[in-house]
Amino acid sequence: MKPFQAVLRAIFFRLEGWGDRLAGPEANPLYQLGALGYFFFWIVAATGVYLFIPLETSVVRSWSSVEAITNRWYWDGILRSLHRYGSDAMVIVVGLHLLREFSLDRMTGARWFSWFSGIPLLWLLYISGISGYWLVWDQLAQYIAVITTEWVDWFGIFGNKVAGNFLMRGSLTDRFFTLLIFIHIAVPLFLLFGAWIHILRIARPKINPPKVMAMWSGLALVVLSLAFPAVSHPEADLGLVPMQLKLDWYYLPTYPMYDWLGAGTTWAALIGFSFFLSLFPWLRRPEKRAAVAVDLPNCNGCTRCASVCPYGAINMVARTDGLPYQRAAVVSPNLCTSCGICVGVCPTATHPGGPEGITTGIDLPHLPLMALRARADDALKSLQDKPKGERILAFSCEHAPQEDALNGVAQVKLACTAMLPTNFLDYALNDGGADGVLLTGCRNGDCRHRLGPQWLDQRLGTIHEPAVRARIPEHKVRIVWAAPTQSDMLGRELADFRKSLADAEKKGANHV
Amino acid sequence: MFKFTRADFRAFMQKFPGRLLTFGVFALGIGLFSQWPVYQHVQPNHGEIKFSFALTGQRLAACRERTPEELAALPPNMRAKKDCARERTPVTLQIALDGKNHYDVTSRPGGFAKDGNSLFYGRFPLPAGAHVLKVKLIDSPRTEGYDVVDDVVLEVKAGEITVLRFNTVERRFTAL
Repeated sequence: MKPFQAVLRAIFFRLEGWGDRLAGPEANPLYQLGALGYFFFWIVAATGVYLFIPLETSVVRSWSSVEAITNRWYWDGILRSLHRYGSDAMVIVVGLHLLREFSLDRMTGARWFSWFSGIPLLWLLYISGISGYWLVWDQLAQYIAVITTEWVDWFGIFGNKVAGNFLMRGSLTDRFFTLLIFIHIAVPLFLLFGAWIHILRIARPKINPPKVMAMWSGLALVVLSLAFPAVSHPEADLGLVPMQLKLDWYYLPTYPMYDWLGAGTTWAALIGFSFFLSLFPWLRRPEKRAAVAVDLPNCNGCTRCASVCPYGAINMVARTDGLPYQRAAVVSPNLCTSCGICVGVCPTATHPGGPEGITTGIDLPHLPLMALRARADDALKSLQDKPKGERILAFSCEHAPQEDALNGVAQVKLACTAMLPTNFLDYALNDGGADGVLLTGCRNGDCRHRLGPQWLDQRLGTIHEPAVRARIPEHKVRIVWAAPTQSDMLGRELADFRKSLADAEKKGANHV
Repeated sequence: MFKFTRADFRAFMQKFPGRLLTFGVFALGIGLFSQWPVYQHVQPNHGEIKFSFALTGQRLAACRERTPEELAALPPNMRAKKDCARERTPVTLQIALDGKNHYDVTSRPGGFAKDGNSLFYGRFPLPAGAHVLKVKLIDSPRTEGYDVVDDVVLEVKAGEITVLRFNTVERRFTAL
């Protein structure tokens, strides 16, 4: 599985790079695929509510009512097209979202729930879309109806062959359309409910895309609707064969598959594939790391760790140890991914240069702050032989390896760069003898743990506490978020950082 | 509610050509594959034949008359003179088209007591023109031969559906 993930990841990183250059990170759709899924759902839902009003759910009047909607070009026709293209857009972003999350390995360990709960949503999405095409009762709907009922009949669970309802002219009744409209309304509601469950274990989930992305996505759909309005096939006639069909390949690729392979094989492929997808979180066992541990005597219940946790794994509860604080942090080990972002924000973490070691309210068992300091000390020692101005210590993320770009720099790798308490910057620069500190990690939007770059940027920008101490000169700290495919850019930034440190050194020497 | 401010407009206009390209490609991708390539479901100059039957096989065992002693032993509301086993025989349907076997299915009766219908459904394309369907049916416990053998002459028209029906009274197959 790892080679597939690596190839897909490289493809996504490249595409994201192009997207950043063309559209800018704030409008790059690849960073907001889940949010776009919700956005397109609302477009489809809103247009669907409107279209439901003039739709007639009957054998003889369904097609003509949809034709009337389509031909009222200026408004109704556009809404019909928006309804269709919004649905197609949902399939695209959901599919890309699945692939991207797979490539970024965001499904193992405590993150299994989001992946696993997403698989049934694929079925609900497809049932919603297919039932919508059925409502039009054109030749495409006739084809879908016959194939779907033959497909379902394969299970033999009904007392009669359901496909027999579409045998010949006159065999279908209006009652069937009542059932269809019920399915087409109920299943999307279940989809919405399932989409809520899907994000239950994600803190601060992105369910609304940035405004500029929403504007561009919406505009793209509107222009598409105006340029290529969605139209129906000729009216369904159970006495005629639907010969040529303009299939919606986003929703209906399994129908030709049924024609070629038959019901049993197609069911086996779909159910087998879904089952196989569901097993992904457990097919590969990543290194199991213990959850973060709260040290209660050093926890003052400030809630910062709970607020930054990307997975809602930390809750604040009433204190039980008698200390004069209202609350204490409690970790749910089954939700913790051991990213350590909470460690980075704990205000009770003492200075690494303190004589009695580091105490903190929350710590990572596999990389406690004392061990982090030891790694930093080893890295700083390796810089001692370097000339002044070139002693750069880099804190980097183990998920965004940059060995080539960071050649000549002493590196300390973390589970997430945002794990780093900012007093380590002070320690490295003022106690450890480093000339500069480079903070690098996953590109914003690719963060393995979702919020790392965001939290660290805010801490260093003094928006989020604990803030960087004023005695750390700004020019001595450089942050570069870079995907593994951006080693050239990182190398250039590093060279520029070296140059700025050298220039600052010269200025300082000239002023002495 | 969604507000569109001047700041939103400025943000929208940034990187305009790049965003136009990005979202233009996205829109094109949607529009293209939402209706292309065209799928040829049935070959040109072909029609379809369809059938759907719910046939009840004969009883596996013949009914018998209950003796007076047996009747007396039953509760008053259950004293039916004939004792008929519920189970039905499976039904076999074979359809050969122009001499070649096209459909050969034995369907077991439905229901826990195996006394329900045997269901058949089929659909296959045929070139337009005249065809002869040889339809054979077994719905009795016989071990040799067929209960119904019919030759159904069809005139298949391109793009049209012909339905094969079974008249349970006359016990013959016809095409509609």
